[in-house]
Amino acid sequence: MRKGIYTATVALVALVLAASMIAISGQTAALKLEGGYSNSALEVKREWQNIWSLFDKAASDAIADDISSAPTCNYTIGGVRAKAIDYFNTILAEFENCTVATISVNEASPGEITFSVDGLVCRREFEDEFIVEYSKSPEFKKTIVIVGASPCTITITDAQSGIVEVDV
Amino acid sequence: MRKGFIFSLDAAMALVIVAVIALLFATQFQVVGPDEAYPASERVARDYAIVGGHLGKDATDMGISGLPPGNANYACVTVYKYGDIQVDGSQSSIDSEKYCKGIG
Repeated sequence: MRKGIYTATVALVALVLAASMIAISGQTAALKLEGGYSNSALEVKREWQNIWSLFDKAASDAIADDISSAPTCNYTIGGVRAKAIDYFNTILAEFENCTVATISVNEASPGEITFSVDGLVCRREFEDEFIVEYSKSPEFKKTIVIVGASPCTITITDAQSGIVEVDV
Repeated sequence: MRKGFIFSLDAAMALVIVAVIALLFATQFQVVGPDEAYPASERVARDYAIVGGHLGKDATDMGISGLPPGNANYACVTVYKYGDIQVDGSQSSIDSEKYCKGIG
């Protein structure tokens, strides 16, 4: 009788201990999985931020290059738009997980150009069960000052940050 | 060993089995502990890399290094950077730079 009691006790302890270990192990695995998902989400956002940063610079580059293409040191909205779309598409080609719906370029007032990127989306799928998508529609506003005409000086300032991006 | 008391053979075997199982799971827990599952320093390294890339700063300017990849003790991320804007009618270069930070 006594032998049976101790054996049963030890067996019960063994079961409880094993069950506890399995539970802890399961929780750890779940934690690791969640950590992986969290990192994946951050990666997609970083990818989006990287594109945003490149678009910001490319917008000023498009303006500068359109001005340089004109013999009279001037730009046209149509010319800037065409270059911007071309430059933005070159950047997008580097990021296979990101797309843009539409790109529009408008001149609110002389010397103030706004680039609107509608639906800049970065999206990744993980084994058909987890999808990360980061989407926003950023705007880039640039101020252009041209002094003189062939030769001329060109100053392009990022209106949102105040940083002078082109000064030649 | 007094048969019939706590040190019966089957009880001793049960203890051994429990010890083995506990050791196995404890080892597994150590390997995939939460700290190693997603180290904060790796996130910091990647954030620094993005900021550095946007500001046009080198890895060393951001307090991180440009050490070659393949080192398990470093978290690395590749950032695309826009080249200096030239008024030349063509798009500036888009270059990639790898930023790395030690994982401690």
